[in-house]
Amino acid sequence: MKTKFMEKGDVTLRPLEVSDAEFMRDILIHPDVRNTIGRPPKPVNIEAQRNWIKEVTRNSDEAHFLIEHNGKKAGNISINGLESEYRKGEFGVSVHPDHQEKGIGTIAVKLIVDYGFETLNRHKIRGGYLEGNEASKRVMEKAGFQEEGIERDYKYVDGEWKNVHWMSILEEEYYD
Amino acid sequence: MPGQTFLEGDKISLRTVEKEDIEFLRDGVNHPEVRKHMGNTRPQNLESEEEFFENIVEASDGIHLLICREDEPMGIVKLEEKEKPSNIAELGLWLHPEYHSQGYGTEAIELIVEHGFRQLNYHKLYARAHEDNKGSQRIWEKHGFEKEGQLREHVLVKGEHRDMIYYGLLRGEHE
Repeated sequence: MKTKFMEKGDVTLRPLEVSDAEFMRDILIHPDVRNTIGRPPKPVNIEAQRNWIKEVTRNSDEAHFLIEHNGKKAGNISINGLESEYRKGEFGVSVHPDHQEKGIGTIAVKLIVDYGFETLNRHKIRGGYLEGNEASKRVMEKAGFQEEGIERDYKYVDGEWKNVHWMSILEEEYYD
Repeated sequence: MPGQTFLEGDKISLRTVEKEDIEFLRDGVNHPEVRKHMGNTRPQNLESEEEFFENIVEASDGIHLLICREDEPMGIVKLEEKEKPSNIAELGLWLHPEYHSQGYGTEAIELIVEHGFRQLNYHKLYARAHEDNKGSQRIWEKHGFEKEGQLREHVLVKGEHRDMIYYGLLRGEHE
């Protein structure tokens, strides 16, 4: 039986499982991913990922999903801040480089936005991309996000500081 | 293999919920068509399902039974004791969408209602249904449950606030 929480075309979001630890490790430390996400590029092993998954999936402030493409593990997406005041949320997504440029990230972000507004009743959902990451920016634009501000010197990459650009979508924009 | 049969019907059996059913439970409660009517808003992984199993299925006074067609699990039905002195219990069920609209839910309710009144001596059984869950409403009405109240715009379903309808059946009304 297939596990699915949300689905659109050949992309499925299902709950993140402890057994996804190895896949999560491979994404997080991949050279093409580790310099684009908020987390610093430090190694992480399977056991650490197992503990991390156990911890975050029982935290009611967050919801974590594995992205599947045609039944294969392709990435992960999460939304957090779910217990915060004023009904705000912030999402994060990574698609494994083997599965990039197939539109998987775009569908996954649209699904998490649907989920955030229609099921979790968020007023605002925010996401960020590191300066220069045009692919990430396009994905958010396609999901209806607009740029709202720059946070300076967010991450240190290849010998220099990079800014993060925050983008957001409001509930009235989503339902419009 | 599913657990031991506890109540037997024509098309279905209600069996004990066992640890090996956890994967099936996970797949059921995450399914978009199931969770939208259950008010289940968060993803449930195997770990959280195991917690549910340990805290609720193993430990509570209520009853949880797996709805099966032969050896195949299709859903779950529960009878949850609410207030001890008043001797009433809440009924609930879900079926995996693959098994909807084939009379399985109806039969499961029949078995559990009979058991609730004739064996467990409850005074009243009640159930809830979202306004737009017509399938569930039909089941309760078919079994003689009376519509007792409607809480207005009480739950969020697919971005819209919907009414929550309460149904009840008293011991004397069940024959």
